[in-house]
Amino acid sequence: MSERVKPLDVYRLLPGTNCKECGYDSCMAFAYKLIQREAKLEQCKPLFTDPKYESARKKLEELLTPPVRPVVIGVGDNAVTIGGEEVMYRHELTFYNPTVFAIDVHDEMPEDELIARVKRISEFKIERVGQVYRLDAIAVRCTSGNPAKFAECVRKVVENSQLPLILCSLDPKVLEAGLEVAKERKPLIYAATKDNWKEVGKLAQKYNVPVVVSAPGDISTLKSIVRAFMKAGIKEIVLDPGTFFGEGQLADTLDIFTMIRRAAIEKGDKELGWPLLGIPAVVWAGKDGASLSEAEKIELAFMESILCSMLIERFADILIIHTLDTWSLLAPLTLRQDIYTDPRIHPAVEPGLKKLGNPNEWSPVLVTCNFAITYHLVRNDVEGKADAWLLVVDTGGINVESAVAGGTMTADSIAEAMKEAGLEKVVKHRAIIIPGLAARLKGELEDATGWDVHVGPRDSAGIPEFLRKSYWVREGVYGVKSPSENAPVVLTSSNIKEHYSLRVPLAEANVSAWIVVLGTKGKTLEEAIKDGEVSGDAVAQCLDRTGIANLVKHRKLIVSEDLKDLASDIASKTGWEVAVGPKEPEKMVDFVKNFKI
Amino acid sequence: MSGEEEIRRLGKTILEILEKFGELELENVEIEAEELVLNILPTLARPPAAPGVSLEELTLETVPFEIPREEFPGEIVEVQIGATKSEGGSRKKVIKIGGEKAPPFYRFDYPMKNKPVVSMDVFDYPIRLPKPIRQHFEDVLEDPIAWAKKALEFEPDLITLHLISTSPEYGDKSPKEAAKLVEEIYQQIKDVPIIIGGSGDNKKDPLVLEAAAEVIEGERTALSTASLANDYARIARAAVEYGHNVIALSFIDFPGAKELNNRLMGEGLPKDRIIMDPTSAAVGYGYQYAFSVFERIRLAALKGEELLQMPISGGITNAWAAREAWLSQKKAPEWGPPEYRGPLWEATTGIGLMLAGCDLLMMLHPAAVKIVKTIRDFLISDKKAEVSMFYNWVSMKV
Ligand code: SF4
Repeated sequence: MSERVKPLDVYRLLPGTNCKECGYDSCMAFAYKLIQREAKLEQCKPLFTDPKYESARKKLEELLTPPVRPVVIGVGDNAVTIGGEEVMYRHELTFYNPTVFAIDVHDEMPEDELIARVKRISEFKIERVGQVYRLDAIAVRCTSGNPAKFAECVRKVVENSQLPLILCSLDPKVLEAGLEVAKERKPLIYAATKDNWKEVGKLAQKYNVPVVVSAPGDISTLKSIVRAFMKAGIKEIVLDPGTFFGEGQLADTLDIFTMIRRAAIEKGDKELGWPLLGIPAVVWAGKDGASLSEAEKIELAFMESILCSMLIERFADILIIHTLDTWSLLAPLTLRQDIYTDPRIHPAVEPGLKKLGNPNEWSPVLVTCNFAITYHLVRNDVEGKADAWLLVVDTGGINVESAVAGGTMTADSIAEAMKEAGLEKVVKHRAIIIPGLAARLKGELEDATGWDVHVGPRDSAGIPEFLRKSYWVREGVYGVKSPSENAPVVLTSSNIKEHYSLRVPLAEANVSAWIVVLGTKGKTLEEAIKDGEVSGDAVAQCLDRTGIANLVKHRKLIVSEDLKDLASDIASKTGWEVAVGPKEPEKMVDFVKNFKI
Repeated sequence: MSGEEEIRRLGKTILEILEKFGELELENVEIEAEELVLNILPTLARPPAAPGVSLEELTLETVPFEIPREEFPGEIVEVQIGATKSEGGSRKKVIKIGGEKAPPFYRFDYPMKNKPVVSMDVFDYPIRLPKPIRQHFEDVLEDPIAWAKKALEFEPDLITLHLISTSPEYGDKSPKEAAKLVEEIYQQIKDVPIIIGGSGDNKKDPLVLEAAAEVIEGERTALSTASLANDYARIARAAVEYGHNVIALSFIDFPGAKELNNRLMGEGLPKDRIIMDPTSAAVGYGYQYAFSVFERIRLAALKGEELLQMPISGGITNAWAAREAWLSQKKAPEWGPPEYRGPLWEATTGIGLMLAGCDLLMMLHPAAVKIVKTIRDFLISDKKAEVSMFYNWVSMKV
C-alpha cells in the first residue's frame, strides 16, 4: 500500500531549534505542514542560510518530492503544472494538479481556420457556480511532415495565443523547427520513442523543455527510455504509455495507466514517477475529416468525451483532445473539477438564516440544506435576481433529496430551524418556500408550524421565476385562531404583504376570523382593481370556489376601503351583506375585533 | 564492535520503533531522537544523483517491468438477481453481480468475475421527465407494462419498476394495488429480472415492498430500498421469507452503510442477498462524494471489511438533477444541444461511478444506456491493443 512520508521523517532532517522563523511554533509543527503541502521548505530560513544544513536540505528536497514529480509546461501566468500527485485514491489525501486539457490543431489547416480555432481555444470559458472553466493548452500536430510548414504553424499559434504548447511530431527535425519558433514559451515536446530518443532527448536538453517519452503499450521500453533520460540529467519528463480505444483496447489503456501509477506511488518506481499523458484524440485516428458524416462526428465526440472522463479518473495528468464542442467538453471539465476538489474540506456550510441580497421583513423565506454545493447553487441562482432569506437546515452536509429520504430534512427539523432562527421576528409574513425535492414535507410542515408552505421548483435555477410568477397566497379560506361559524369573514388579496399584515396581527390580537383570499396573483387589491380584475362577479365566484358559505352561518363580508366603490356590486352578485372597513391593517384588526355579526 | 557502531545501531533500532508507532510515541522520545539524528544520517543517506551522462554515450538498457500486482484478502460476494423456473422463479435469464477480488477493472490484479449491469427505470406513474428522455417514452408514460416493454427494446440487462404511485404525492395507491401491478408485470415480462422499487416514502415503502415481495415469491427480485430511515427490518424479513434480495440505501455515509448491512444481516438476511446503494450524485452536483464513498467502500471490502463486501448499486438517473443535462438550448445556448448533453451527462456519471465500483447502474436515457454498455463491453473484452496504429493520431487530418 501507499507509503506516504511521515512527519517524523521530515522532522528529523529539520534543524530542530524550534526558532519559529518558518512561522510555526516548532519544527514538528512545520514538518506536519510540509507534509500537508501547506508550507514550503523555503520558509525554514536556517536550512538555506546555514551551510551545515545543506545535506539535510537536499535530503528534505528529495523526501518532499511527490512520487509523481511535478512538471511545468509554459511560462508566466499561463504556465501549467502537471503531476505532483501522492495518492491513487483521492480520499487518501487529495489530488493536487487538475488534469490539463490541451486541444489540437495541425499544420495543414487553412490559415483562417487555424486562427479561428486557436482563438476559440484561448477564449473558451464556461462559468459555473462561481468557477470558471478554461482550456489549458494547445497541441500542435505536424501532419505535413515539413519542418518549415510546422514552424510556420507554430508561429501563428504563438502569435494568436498565450497558452502553453505541445509540439507533436516523431521527427526531431520538425520538433526543432517548432522549438526555434516557440522556445521562449517552454513547450512540451512530443515525443521521444525507441527510434528517435537520442535526438529528441538532445532537443529537450538544448532548449531546456519538458519532453514526452512514448512507448505505446510497452512499459518496459518506456522505462528504459526514461532511465536513459534520467541518467542524462533530463529533469522534466511526461509519460505516454499509449491511449487505445475500442474493444479490449480501452481495458488495456486503463490497465497500463493504473499499473504505472501504482508502481510510482505504491512501489516507489522512480522511472514511472512522472505525469501521464492521455490522448482521447485517438478516437479520431484513421478518420478523414472531410469524409466524416455529421452523425459519425457526433458519435466520435461522445466517445472522446467519455474517454476524457475515464482518463481523468485513471490518473491522466494531461490530455490531448480534438473535439472543441462545448457540449462534449462540459462533462469532463466538470468531472475534473469534482475529482480535484479537496476531500479534506467538509461539504457542509454553517446552518442558519442567511441573506440573499438585501431581504427585509416582507421578503420570501427559502429553505435549503447545508450541503455546500446546493447552498452555493441556490445563492448563485437567486442573488442579484431577488432579495430573500435563506434558511439553511442542518442536514449533515447532505443534499435535499437524500436528506429527505434519510430523515435529516423533516418537517420537524425545518420547524426547529425556523424557531432557532427566530423567523417569526425576522419576517412579518408566515409563508415559507421548501425545495421541490422536499415537496412531500408540505403537509406535515404546515401542521407543525401553522405557516403557509409553498413548494418551490425542483431546481434552484427556477427560484427567481417562481418568486415572480407564483409566490403569493393561494386563493382559499384561512382560519385565524380556530374561528367558529359565527366568526367574521374578511376578504384580502393574495398579495403577501397585504394578506399577512392583516392575518398576523389578527392572530396576535387573539381575534378569531375567517380570511378569504381573492386570487389576484400577487397583486394588491388596489392594483387588481386598477387592472380591472376585481368585480362583484369575481368575488362571487371566489366565495363559491372557497366554500366559505359552508363554514359560517352568517352572510356578512368585511372588505377594505379599497373596495368601497365595488361594495354594492359585490353585495348584489354575492347576496352577502358587505361591510367596508378601514384600509390600514392596524385599524382593520380593531374593526374585525369589534364587528358584530 | 566499536562504540560508534554500537550507537549507530542503537539509534537505528530506536528510529525503527519510532516509525512503527508513528507520532504517538514521539513526545516521550523527542529529545533522544533529535540527538540521534546526526549520527544516523549517514546510514540513511540516499545515493547521490548521478551527474548527467551524455545521451550520445547511452544505450537503451532492457528494463523489465514487473506488474505491480496486489493480492487483496477480501472478496465481494456474488449476488444473483432473478430466478429461473428451476430455481423457483419465472425468469428466462438471471443476473449475477459482484465477485470482485480487485479494484474495479484492475484486470492486471484479477479479471472481473461479473460485468457491471445496466437496469432501466420504469415508473408506474406518468412522472415528469426531462425532455430528452420523455421523447423516447411519450406514448407509454401511462402504462408501466408498455413502458417496460419499450425499455427492453434498448436492451438493458434488466429493468426496475418504481412504484411511485404509492407515494401520497402521486396518488397514494395502496400496497395491495401496487402488488397487483407487480404480479402483472412479472407475468407479462419474463425475459429479464425486474427489480421492484418503492416511492421513497419512508412510511409506505416497507409496506409496499412487503406486499410486492409476497406476490412474486421465489423470483429473487431486489427490493429497493431499505435504509436506516425506514423500517428496514420489515423489508429484510420480507426478503428472507419470500426469497428476494434487498438494496440497502445509505447516504454518502461510510459507517452508515456498514451499520445498515449489519442490521439487515441481523434480521437473518444472508450477505449474498444484499446490494448496497451508497447514493449517487450527478457530475457537478456532489459527484466527488459519491465517487469517493464508492471507492472507499470497495477498497475497504477488498482489504477485508466483511460488512462492506456486497456489490454496489447506483441511481445513475440522478445525473438528470444536473441542469447541464436538461436545460434547453434556448436557456443555455453556449452549452450546445441538450439532446447530446443530457445522455452524455448520464453516461459520464454512470461510467465514472462504474470505475469507482458500481456493479448495478440504474439508468434512464436509451443513448446513455447504449454508451455505458458499449464501454462496459470494451472493458470486459480480452482483445489486445493495436499498438502499431497508435501514432496515426499525430498525423490524422481532422
Ligand atoms: S524555521 Fe526551521 S528550524 Fe526554525 S522552527 Fe521552523 S522548521 Fe524549525
